[in-house]
Amino acid sequence: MFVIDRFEGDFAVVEYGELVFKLPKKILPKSAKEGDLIKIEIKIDESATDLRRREIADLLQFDE
Amino acid sequence: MKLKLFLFSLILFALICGCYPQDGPIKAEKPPLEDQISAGENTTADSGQERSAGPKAAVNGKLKVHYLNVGQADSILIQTPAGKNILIDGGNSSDGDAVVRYLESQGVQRLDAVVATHPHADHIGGLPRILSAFPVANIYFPNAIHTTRTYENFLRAVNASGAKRIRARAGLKLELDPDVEAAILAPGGDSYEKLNNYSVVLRIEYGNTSFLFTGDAEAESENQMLAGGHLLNEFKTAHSPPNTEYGWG
Repeated sequence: MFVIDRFEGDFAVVEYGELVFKLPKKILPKSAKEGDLIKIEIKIDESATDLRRREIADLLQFDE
Repeated sequence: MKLKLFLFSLILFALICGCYPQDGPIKAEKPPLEDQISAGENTTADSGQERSAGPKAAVNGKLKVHYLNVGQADSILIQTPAGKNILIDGGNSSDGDAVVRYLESQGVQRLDAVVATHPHADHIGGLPRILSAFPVANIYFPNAIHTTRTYENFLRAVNASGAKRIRARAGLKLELDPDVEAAILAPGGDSYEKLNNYSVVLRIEYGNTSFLFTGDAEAESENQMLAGGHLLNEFKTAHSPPNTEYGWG
């Protein structure tokens, strides 16, 4: 259960069991308010990860 | 770690001798913890709180106000001249043990009144641990709903504590010590959008000194108090966090 305990500045303070963490307000629905239970779905973005690895690999350069 | 935190705890003593008719000079002294101030005559503690407007009846004794360092959370111990202990909030859940140790170090064996200002975790999180460590006579908290486990745990601890559960509301008085006037100024209503505005606001007056403990009350509650004629304008500074309206909530 993820619950918004309160807002602090640009963040929502979210309680998850014994853990407390902050989420930027801008990634929450505008209507989110303290006391709301929220659903969090996380997916791994494979194609963005690959793209990012390639970008970084391009920067990883050696002279000898 | 927690003990270290408490090395920075702030203890303010209001020592009121009662033998001076006018307000003495106001000094703010912020000692490291455990170096208790031996406050001199005419010294009162000021932490940006409200001061009473005029002289009151002469009193003798000490009112001690301890602002515990629980990070950005809140926990305040008030010890009255008659030896009564009032605790306002208990920090986050992770602060509970350290608060208990600190109270024990100050000779606290029972809490005559606990005030849980409002349901945010940084105010009530540590209270279950504290309620299980000391006998508690009365608990004052607002009529507010919150959905977190932390608040649920707090309510379960309150219900199991055997303490008298008192709905905090403007107009109530805490009858603890004949020389100390302790009045609840807010909440004045029963329905607010923001939990901060359910904050119990407590004014403690002793001799010439007056403290105002505001929880996280914001404009809506403040305006109700001002409209009720309870407060002077200096109250406006109570919850004015940097940058945002939410501040350190």
